[in-house]
Parts: sequence; structure tokens; C-alpha cells
Amino acid sequence: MSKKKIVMPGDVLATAEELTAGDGTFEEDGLIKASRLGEYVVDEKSRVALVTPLTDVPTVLKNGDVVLAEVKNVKNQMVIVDVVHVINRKRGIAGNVNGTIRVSEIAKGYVKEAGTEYRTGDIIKAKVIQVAPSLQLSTKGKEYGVIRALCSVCRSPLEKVNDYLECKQCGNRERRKVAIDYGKGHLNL
Amino acid sequence: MKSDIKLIDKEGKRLDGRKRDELRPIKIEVGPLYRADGSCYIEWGGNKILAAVYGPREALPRHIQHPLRAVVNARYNMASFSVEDRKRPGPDRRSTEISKVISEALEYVILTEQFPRAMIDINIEVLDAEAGTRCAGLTAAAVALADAGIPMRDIPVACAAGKIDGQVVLDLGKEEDNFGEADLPVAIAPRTDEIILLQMDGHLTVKEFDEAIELAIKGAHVVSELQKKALLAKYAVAKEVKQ
Amino acid sequence: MNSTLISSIKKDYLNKLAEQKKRIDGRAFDEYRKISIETNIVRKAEGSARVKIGNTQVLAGVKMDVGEPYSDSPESGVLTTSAELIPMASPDFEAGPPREDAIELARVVDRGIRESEVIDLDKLCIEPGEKVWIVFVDIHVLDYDGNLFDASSLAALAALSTAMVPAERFEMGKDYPLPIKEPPISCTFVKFNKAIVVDPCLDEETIAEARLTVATDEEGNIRAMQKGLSGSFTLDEVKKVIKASIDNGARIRKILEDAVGRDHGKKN
Repeated sequence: MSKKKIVMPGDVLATAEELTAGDGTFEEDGLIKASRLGEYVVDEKSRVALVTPLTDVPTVLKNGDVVLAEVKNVKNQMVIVDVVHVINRKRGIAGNVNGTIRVSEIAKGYVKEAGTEYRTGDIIKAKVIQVAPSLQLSTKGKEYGVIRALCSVCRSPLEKVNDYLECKQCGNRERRKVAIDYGKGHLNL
Repeated sequence: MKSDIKLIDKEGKRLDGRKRDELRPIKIEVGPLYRADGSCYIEWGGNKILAAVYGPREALPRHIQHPLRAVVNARYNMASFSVEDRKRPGPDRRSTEISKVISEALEYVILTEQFPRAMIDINIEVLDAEAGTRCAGLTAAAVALADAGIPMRDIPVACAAGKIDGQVVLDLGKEEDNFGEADLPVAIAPRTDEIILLQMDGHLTVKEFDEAIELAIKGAHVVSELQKKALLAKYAVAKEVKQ
Repeated sequence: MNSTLISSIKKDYLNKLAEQKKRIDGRAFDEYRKISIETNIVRKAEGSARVKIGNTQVLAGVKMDVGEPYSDSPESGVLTTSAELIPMASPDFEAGPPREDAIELARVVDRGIRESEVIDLDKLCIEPGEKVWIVFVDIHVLDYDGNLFDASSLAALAALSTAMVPAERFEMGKDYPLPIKEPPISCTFVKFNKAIVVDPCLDEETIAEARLTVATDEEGNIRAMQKGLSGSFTLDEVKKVIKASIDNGARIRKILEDAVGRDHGKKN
């Protein structure tokens, strides 16, 4: 990396022969131009022009993002979720939020059926492992899994007791793949 | 509307003391709002306008989604106390039309194809109105978009020219707007001078139009520099402080 | 929208903090965020004020017109208060006609002004039964981070306190200051997980079980109250809230007086 200069949307950075357009830039009429306010950087190795933003930027899901998601539907071999929030981001999400967790990505150990771990309405903490062509999440690891769930009998919040969840209202017990901070609600939001 | 008021004197001085090619004073502040993803406050003559951007975020209701690009939705609104006679709150035909032409103008510069199925909301609130609110509003909205880090091919900017007492002048003020002969608001992408908003009412000869649009574009370039200065004041200076 | 869901997730965290007598932004239970008031900021309005309480920002504007009085009060001016929760202020606000929340807000602000007779409406009569002054108070919420009740009523009071009756525009002599009496100050509290906190921020407001607004005057008397949301207060809690309202009210009254005293009659 070299060359640092503050640029504005529309500033011409280079010709398309010299460099390829990377993050924060676009190509128009054979020229590479900045698309946001930031510092112009050239990745010399790959010959890519980049603008590292000085402003906040839209939240676009990418691999490795830790997110909160709501379980929408549970099938035999997968769970369908809507991502509602990216941890440490204030802004809403730009683009598709509908993703899946395959049964093999629920936990480190073997899970036979997704329905034994997650139920519709659960709020889970998960990691993005694929964005395109479809959004895929994983909850392998102790920091991932359900962080808030409601009793399937009476809809009261479930509390974590040892390795199961218990409803203080009706005494119902359920199991889930829970995250280590289940019910703490401290999200660093 | 004709009146006996002399809008420009023999020396070419206007009611508020401006020369024919002079803008009203303009002040731009970046990021005054907390909840919005990007925001801008502008004072342009007697106009006081706030612009806020939310998004891109999932476009709702779903039927408004475009499979290949983001939907740009600007909403121009005048506070009920922003005008001489109190305005009933809520949209009217005028604000709906202005919202539409501003949305279309901004959509041209935003790289909407980067956010399929999303929407970008731009709220323009006129708190105090004098004349030229659509130009000031679009100018503020453009800065709010840059503040929100929304990818754009340029920072759009607007300015009006008009005709008073038979002369083409820049940036009509209050009386000039009421009693002048023509008003020509123009918005451009300043690097290419592409015209992205153009309206006119009144009466201009073709020659006067040529003169007026040249003047408006020249004025827009001056405003464009103020937009960039305001953005740099927030971000380049903030960065120096950090280092 | 999602922010409501996020707040519901944060609920457990806020509850746990409350048990340790802590709040999410580090304030004490009886502590307001920073309040600032600027007046006369809208030239086209007869009076205006922008109030910031923390990140919450509200602009109030006063417009006046001449019109007919109501037939049941032919010698009184007319007061109309409205509020708009414009989409600028929050990702969750939608454009359109005012919904329940905006109407409740406008009515609570209106009551605070009307019932305590901040404006002497009888002095706004021009010709009995024919012509009176109509006062429009419009609340424009610009940035929403909780506690719109206090921010809005403070903005309305500051705008009214600095308003000039536009007599000249209606060819009725010189403009003169709108006659105003010492206003009551409203303080809002919310309750969650047995904790009662003043000046709720958005997170606290979203998870609140009950809300209570109390307006008190300079003598420490109660002038208006509004309980909201589906939870409840014990009588003891209500009494504590009243006491805290009187204490906080005195401090806020000082801020208001400083702001309107400094700016009174001066139009930019």
C-alpha cells in the first residue's frame, strides 16, 4: 500500500488501463473514479484502486460478520433465518437478509435434525460464512447459538438452567443450542 | 406578477445589495443529526433546511423492491411554521412534485446497482423558507448522502437563476421570486455539468435562457466547492485530530 | 421494525444494570441528559425554539393568525397544538397522517399550555364573537432518542415565551410580545424491572412498562399529569415521581428562563 490522498465522490483516480476499480471506486468511460469520501489507496500488488472511507458506510453483510438473526422456519436439514442486526453496527442492513443455517453448521458435534436445536422465533447469534449466491450462516462454537427464546407452551422468556432452558411461568423445559451469553442481552450495540 | 417595486437599480445592485451574479450567503454543516445515517444542515439566504438519509436498507413493503438496484425515495416537506401563512402539516401537490423531481435527480448520481432490493430514504425538511428551497434542499441532501457514505458518481448540487426587471440574475431572493419574470432552478453533476434537474416558470427568450442556465451552472459550481469544504471540515479535520 | 426487536433483546441487559442502580448511558436514576435551548431560530415563525435533550432534538414553531372564536368562548383566542413525528427523526417513523403517538404527544403538550393558562387566551380577543388571535403551536421532532414529552413541551414553552404577536401584518399596530405566564415544567419518568428513571433514552423508553409525566409550577404545585403504557405504579412510586419532578422542574425552569430571558424580543 502507498499514496494517501483524501478524495470525494467523482474524483478521477486513474485510467482503467493503469488500475482496476476496487472498494469505494467505480469505472466510467475508461476512468477509475472515487464513489465515496475517503483516502485513496493503491494496492500495488494487485493493482487495485481503493478508497478507504472516512465516513460511516452502508452495512453490507460479508464473511465473518457476527450477526443477530431471527429464526423464521425450521426444516429437517436447515433453519431459515432473517438477519436483523450486525454486531457493533448502528445502521440497518443493505440487501438480502434472508439466510439459512445448514444442519451441519449448527454445532461442532453431530446434529441429526435442526428442530432439536432451534425453533421458530428464537433469536440467535451467528457468523456469516457465505454471502453469494445465497446467504449462509453458522452457529458452530460456544459463542454462537440462541441468545433469547420463548417458551413454546406459554410464550414467556425461557431462562437458562444448567444445560437446558426453563420457563419460570409454566415449568416447561426445552433444549436449544444456546450461546454462552444466553439471556445476557449485552450486545455491544 | 408585475409590481412597482424596483428589483434592481441602475448600478445593477439588487434589493438585498447583491450583484447580479452573486449568491446569497450559504452555510453548510455536516452530520447534525444522531439517528440518521447521514445528515446535513444548510442555511442559504433565509432558508434553513435539514436533510437526513436512511439506508440503504431492505425496501418495504416488498412490492416496491427492484431486483437489480436500490429505490431512491426523497421526501421534501415544509414545516408548518416555515412560511408566512401557516401551512397545513403533511404533503400537498407541490411538495409531492418536488419530492419526485429531487428523487429522480439524486437517483442518477447514486450507484443504485450496488444495492438490489434496498431503498434509500432522503428526508428534506424546510424549517424556514425564503426562495429556492428545492435547490437548497437538493444541495443539502447531496451532502447528507456523502455523509452517509452512499456510493455516488458525483456530489450533485443545485442553484437557480432568474429574470428580474428584464435582467438575468443568479439565485433569486424572496421579493425577486415573488415579483420577478422567471425562475430557473437547475441541478447538475458538477464534474460533467450533466443537468439532472431543470424546471422553469415565467418568460425567457432563448437568448435569456442561454444566459440564465450558464449563470445557474456557474453558481452551482461555487456551491459545490462549499459542499466539499463542509465535508472536509468534518472528516479531514477530524482525521488530523485523531492522528 | 428491527430496532424494537433489538431493544427487546437489550432488555435483559438494561434490567441487570438497573438492579445495580446503573443505566445504559451511565446516568444516575434521577439524572437528566444535557438540556440546551435555542430560541428565535425560524424567521418566518412568530416564535420558535430548538430543544436538545441528549441526542433528542425537537423544533417548535408558533404561528398566529386572525380568525373567528369558538361560539362557546367568544371572547377568547384559540390555541391549536400539533406534533409531527417526521421520518427524518427515526428509521421507524413513517410519513403520513399523525398516528396515535403523535396525537398523544400534541395533546399532552397542549394541556400543559392550556390548563395552566400559560397563554392568557382572553387577552387574545380582538372583537368579541368576531375576531380573535389563533395561536398554532407546531412540534417538529427532528431526532428521536427518547423523551419527546419533555423535549416537546419545553420547546413549545420556549417558542411561546419568545413569540411576538404579528399585529403589524394584520394592520393592528405594532408587534408585541405574546402575553405569557410562568409555565409549569414537565418531567417524564419510566419504570422497568422495578426501577424508575427520569428522562428515558430510546432504549429505556422502548422496554418501559409504565411512563409518568408530571408538570409542576414554580410553587411546587402539580399542574398536569399523564400516565402511559400498560404497566402500573404504586401510590408510593407516584409520590416519589412527583417529588423528583418538583426538584428537576426547578432546575429545568432555570435553563428555560436563561434561554428565553436572554433572547426575548430579539429577532434575527
